[in-house]
Amino acid sequence: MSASETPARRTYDFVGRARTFGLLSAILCIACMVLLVVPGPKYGIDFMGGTNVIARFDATADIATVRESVASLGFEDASVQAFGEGDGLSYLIQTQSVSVLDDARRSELQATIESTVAGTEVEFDETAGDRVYLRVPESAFLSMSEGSSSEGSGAADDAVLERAATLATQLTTAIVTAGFEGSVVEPYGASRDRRFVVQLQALQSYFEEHFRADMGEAFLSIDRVETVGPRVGQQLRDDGVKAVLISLILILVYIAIRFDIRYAPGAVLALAHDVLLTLGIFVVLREEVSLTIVAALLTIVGYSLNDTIINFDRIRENLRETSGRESLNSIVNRSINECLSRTFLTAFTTLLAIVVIYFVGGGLIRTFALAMGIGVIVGTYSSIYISNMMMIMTTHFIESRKPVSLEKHSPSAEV
Amino acid sequence: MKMPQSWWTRVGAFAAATLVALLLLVPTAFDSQYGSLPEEQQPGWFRAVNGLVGGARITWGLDLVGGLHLQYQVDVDKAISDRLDRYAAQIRDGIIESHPDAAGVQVDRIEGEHALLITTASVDPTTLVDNDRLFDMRLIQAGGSATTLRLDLDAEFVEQTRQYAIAQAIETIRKRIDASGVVEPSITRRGESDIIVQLPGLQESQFEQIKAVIGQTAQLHFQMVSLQNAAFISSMNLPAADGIVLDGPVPTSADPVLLQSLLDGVETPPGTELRVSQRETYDRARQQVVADTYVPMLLETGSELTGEYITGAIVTADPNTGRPVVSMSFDEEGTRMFARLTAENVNRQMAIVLDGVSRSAPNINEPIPNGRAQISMGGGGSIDQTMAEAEALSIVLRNGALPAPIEKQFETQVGPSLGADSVRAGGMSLAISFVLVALFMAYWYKVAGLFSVLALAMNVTFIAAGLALLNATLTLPGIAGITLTIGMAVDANVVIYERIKEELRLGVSVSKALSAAYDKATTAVLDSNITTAIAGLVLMEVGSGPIRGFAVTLLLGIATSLITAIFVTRLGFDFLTIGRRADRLSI
Repeated sequence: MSASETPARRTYDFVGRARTFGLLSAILCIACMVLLVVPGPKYGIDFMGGTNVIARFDATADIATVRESVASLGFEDASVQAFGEGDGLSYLIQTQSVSVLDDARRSELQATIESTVAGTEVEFDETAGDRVYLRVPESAFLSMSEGSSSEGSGAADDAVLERAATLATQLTTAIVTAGFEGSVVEPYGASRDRRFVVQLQALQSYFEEHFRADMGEAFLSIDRVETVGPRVGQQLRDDGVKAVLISLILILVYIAIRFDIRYAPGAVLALAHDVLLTLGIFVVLREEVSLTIVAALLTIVGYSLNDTIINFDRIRENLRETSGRESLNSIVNRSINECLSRTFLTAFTTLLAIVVIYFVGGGLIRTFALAMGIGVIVGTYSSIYISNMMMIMTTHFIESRKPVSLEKHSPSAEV
Repeated sequence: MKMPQSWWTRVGAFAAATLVALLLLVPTAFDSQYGSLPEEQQPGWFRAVNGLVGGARITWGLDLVGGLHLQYQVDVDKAISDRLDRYAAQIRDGIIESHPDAAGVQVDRIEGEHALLITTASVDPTTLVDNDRLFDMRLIQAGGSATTLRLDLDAEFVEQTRQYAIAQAIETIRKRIDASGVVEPSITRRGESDIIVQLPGLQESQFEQIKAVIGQTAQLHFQMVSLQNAAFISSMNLPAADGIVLDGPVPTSADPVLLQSLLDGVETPPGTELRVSQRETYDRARQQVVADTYVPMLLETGSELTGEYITGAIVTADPNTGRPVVSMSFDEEGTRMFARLTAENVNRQMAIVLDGVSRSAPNINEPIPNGRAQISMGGGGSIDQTMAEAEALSIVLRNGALPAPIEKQFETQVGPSLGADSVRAGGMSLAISFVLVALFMAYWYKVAGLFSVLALAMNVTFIAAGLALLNATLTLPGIAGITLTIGMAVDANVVIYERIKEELRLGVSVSKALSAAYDKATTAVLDSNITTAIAGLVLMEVGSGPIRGFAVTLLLGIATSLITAIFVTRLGFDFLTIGRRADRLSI
């Protein structure tokens, strides 16, 4: 027998302090809701669309030099931060652009195209930012294939094809000369449609060439490039919200079936509280909310519920054993105390693993560990204060509408 | 010591399960050493184990080995609006041709809808439009006013186009990556119209090449087979190489890329080029195509008739013979070109060349002026064989050009050095967490703690074996999931142990305390794990790539930790208590 008995023997009055902590949590939740609107979470590129580049440099390149170099690329919103360990120095460069085209360069490209073939319709593709669709005017075609009749002679077809090829070459040369290195213009569709597509240089090689020219030997490699189109970003964000909501609903149903409807609102309120607070703290810390964080949130939901259920199970058992000889408040408080050492021990071992992931696991999953850490602490708190108090409140609410008292009609009887 | 039969049975079962789990992990552990060797050079035991576990192994995720992950969206709307633009031009041309006096006719696509609007100055537009042609275009007259007419594209046709465009895009992308001969790609469809292409282990230098290969439009050409074909092929001297069969007049190979590279070195007569031509070997007994072989074919260059002029291709039955034929139709421009090509080349073979490979070379029996061509299939095989050939050909004809543009939605490139860093960091955090949690449990719960350390070790083994059995992909978040599971899995032990202590405090005997604790705590442990599993399942449904990997390990961890934490520790306690008078428990 060891020292571990001590915390279980002392009895703390949790239920008595419920009002204070309930109020505190309510205030915190409202504050977090406000924070989620203003200033709102900082979304990762998987939710906003954008590009992440991890580039490696040798020791001669400090963060200021890299920032300067990135700034000269012309992405206005680009941010640079030191990243991870490894042999050289790695930097994470983030921008919401998904292509080499920003607004200024976009109008530059449009001007170039229009001055090469007057009257061309230019259609920018907002999702696949690395291509631009063109439709040249009929005049640009007819001027070359004059005299072709509608007889369908082979000469006329050849002339149209030849004209398309000539135009494509002209446009490519003009666009490359205007500073869009690596771009290619190709005709597509039926040639009578006079359509072309401009394929711009990919971001990867754009960054690579820039760093090689600008930083020379100090630039080692591009380690990771991730681009997300804005449309898919929106979709992923919706999916994330949907995932959290679906989990909450399914869990509500499971608890209602497995335990009793009195327990369900408490469990779900506690979970919503955990998700809200974790997100709120992320806003305060200006940490990025990404798909990884959604994964963390769902894991937190699972973990926190774990705590809640262990408590509920004990409450149910104690209600059954005492069957009316003890007040509900007292039973709940006793149950929390009986589970207390388990609650803290599990939180401790889980946090142990999380802390290790945070410090050893590398830069890519650090924010995941941070969210999990916050979530485990908040979840432990909520499973003691929020879920149990809500269970008491729900029971009283149901009692007040029913003549039969809970003590004589224990919820466990229905399980 | 004398333990009861049932205890030994349970111990035996767990020992056997652990052995099986370890066996499942053998191929994964030695894969880097022997996996890439040809089968004959692998050690005998490695092959034996591989056969035993049925190829079960853990795949390393893209974020661990480096590679390319691409997500494309097939832009069907773009394809449909392009097609409508083309229809609009054709209808306008048709009206001007047949009613030269009808002034001010305009045909426009209605933005955001699958419909066209015909506007005239004064004439009733219905009198101008040739209904037979509209049907061909799958357009339906849908009202209007005295001087306007609205034409809707058949909704069923739009849906068909959508489904077909996505299936064909996947097929085309797969063929192209295969042809480029790099690592095995994984190509999957996701959601309504997304395609995910994953190339783990792809070299950084090949990233751009692969993206270019996927992005280009497939090329379908109609080229005449040279009159000198047979003579040239039998007289040319192809260098001997592995994978090329040179006996007989025509060299054959199962590898089109290899064959083409050798053919590129052969000098050809002016105006011709050598291409590989596909031959399917049909297994009559199994009623399916069993192998593709490729042979060289001398083709005339300078063809301008390409797949983009084809409007459709279907398999029909020849009314006279009942044998399957492929009917295809061209648009107006294609009709003209096809008429000319066939008129000039009666009684010659025309090769249908997709992405540089000749898929079929039917004979031109007569000039075809109306843009409706029927390709009759060779007469040698059975009806089934001919049917299979016809289906294959119609697919090639339809998918000549990528049916809809694809847009890149999402891209991740991971260099191998970052992958190696992640493996190191992930492995390290897993090991450190295990040691820390194990030390804590042993300190806090003494001998009982050691039981749970044993359970934890088995748990990690079972998770890994489960991943191998599912052929799951291990990602960095997946490793984090296992690490997290280590922290959370001991929860079941903590719940039970705390319960045992409580019961002991009430003064009951050790064996009573044990059975009471296990009885009472098990339902709580089950309930709490099931709800975590609900969250995991939702995550697996919604998450993509690495996140899915996390969900898989989380779910596996829940399943295995339930078994190990409850049953393995119970074995330990039974060992301590059964058959002896235990009045104290080291817990």
